[in-house]
Amino acid sequence: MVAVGLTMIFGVMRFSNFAHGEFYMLGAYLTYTLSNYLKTDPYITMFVAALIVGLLGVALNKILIKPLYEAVVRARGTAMFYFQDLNFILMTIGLSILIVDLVLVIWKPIPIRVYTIMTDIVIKIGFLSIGAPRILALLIALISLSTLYIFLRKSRIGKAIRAVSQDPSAAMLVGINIWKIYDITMFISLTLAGLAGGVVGPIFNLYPNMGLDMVAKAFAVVILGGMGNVMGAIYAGFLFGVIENLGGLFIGTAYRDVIGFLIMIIVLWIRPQGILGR
Amino acid sequence: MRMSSLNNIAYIILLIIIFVLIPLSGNQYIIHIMILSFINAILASALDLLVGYTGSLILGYAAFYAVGAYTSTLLSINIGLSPWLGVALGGVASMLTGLVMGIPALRLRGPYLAISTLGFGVIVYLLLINLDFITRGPLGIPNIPPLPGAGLIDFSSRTSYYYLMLTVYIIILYILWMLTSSRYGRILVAMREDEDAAKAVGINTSLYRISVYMISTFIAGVSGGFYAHYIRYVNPDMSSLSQSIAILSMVLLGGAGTVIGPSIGAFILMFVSEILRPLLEYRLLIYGALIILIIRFFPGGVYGYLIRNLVQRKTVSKEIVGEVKT
Repeated sequence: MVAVGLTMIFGVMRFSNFAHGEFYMLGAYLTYTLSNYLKTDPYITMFVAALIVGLLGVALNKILIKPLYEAVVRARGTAMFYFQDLNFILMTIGLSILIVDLVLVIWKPIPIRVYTIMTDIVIKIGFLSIGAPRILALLIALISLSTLYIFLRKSRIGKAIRAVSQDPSAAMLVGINIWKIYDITMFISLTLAGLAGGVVGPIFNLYPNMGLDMVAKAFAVVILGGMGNVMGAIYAGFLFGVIENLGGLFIGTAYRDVIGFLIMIIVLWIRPQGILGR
Repeated sequence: MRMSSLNNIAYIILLIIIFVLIPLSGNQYIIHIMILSFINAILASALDLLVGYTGSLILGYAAFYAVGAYTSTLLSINIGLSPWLGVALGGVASMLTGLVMGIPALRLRGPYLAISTLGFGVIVYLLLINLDFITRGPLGIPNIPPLPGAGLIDFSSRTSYYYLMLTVYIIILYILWMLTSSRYGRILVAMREDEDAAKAVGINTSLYRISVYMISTFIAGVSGGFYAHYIRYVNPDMSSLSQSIAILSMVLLGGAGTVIGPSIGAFILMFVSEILRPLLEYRLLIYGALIILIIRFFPGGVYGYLIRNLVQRKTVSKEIVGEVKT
């Protein structure tokens, strides 16, 4: 879900959101806090939290991102190559640091466990036993992603989003308000990230750097699989995990992250098109 | 034109005189912060060569600073090498590390470059922590020998180290100014603006990119060495992400793509962070907010803002007058 949101922003708005993992983390923390205050189960509050994160995204889009677009359009007169523009990267990096430290100050760096009524339920399928939160996470991910797919295929707004992603200038010519589309894209992808955070909360612990770690890994996997290559990314994801953990087993767990990033750099050197690229 | 360059030289001389006079106040605390500011200004200027002039965003930059510091430290402690040679070799080690990072990164742009150099910084950080039989891990290395003096000059005193750093700073800034105002600098800017066009007119962009990585990381390594022999203690936090972000903030605050901008940013940030020392917990919060505000409201940084409002106002009004005439 985080990756889909990341790709959506990259595809439609054409910049890479380094702060994306932070919204995922924010979703998790908001879910936790809301369920504490309202004394309701995280599985209800996570939807509220996701909506709040999405609305926050729209606000940030209006305040911070839109002026950058306008500056680029003024300077170059084109609407295509935003993702090469340093200002977008720097802005989202600044945002990422800001949010991480804000969370650190508000919620403290101690990892938090989220308890729900589902936590202790274990479902047995044959000899496999899986915790209920994991199954629910899978279900929510499947439902939200398939809803998104249908929305993008069938609805008017979904078609407009796809039009903007193919050619912003042409979309503007046929009367699509691209600023509105950008707002909607931001809302959808950040709501997804927030929801992912809420879903993950009952499974893993919450800590302020969880978003940063997630995004760094996601980028490493994308580079490994070849940029823009979906199947490559899936294979690379498995390969990355296996090599990282095997390396950790043989050389020492302290070096696990070193090995992961080292593979990334070696792949960049030898096969910049990714392991599956031609 | 002649007048303005004379004016600039006058300003520079005035600034140098002020810098020379500062230690006479005898305030050890101010001198200490000034020395750290010089070291950070050198580091930020070197990073600006990459971020500002070449337009490639390097995120784990503090790694090179740490490599320089550790190389110089280990050589002078374990082999007993003269720290002067150590500082130079620290620069070379950092440059080689820059090559290791630079060659795979040649084909990368924008976000991919940023994330892979971030990964590189993490690797160096983890190696410094985990290779504890060499680096003593998170404990760091204390009791680093100071730079030996010659004759009457003794660099273990703060004031003489101040003058040493001032000299090094001026030399490096002069070199950077010569580089960026020469053909070399113009080629870098041309590559930043449009790499394909630069290639089309016959520029070997890979060669230029690698060479600028090497120059920049060499300077970073040297500044790390000077830091190590001044503070006489190094630890892996020198290569942490927050250190990299701090350097980046300096560049952006002062003004990326200018020679003097990063120094302004370094001096402001060093003094502000001293004043805000009680708020240490919020340091990254402030850096983050700073980056956002600069990008949003002052894209040229402090220096760009000053230039726009003091210098360009005159020329702009002239241009408008000229337009009315024609």
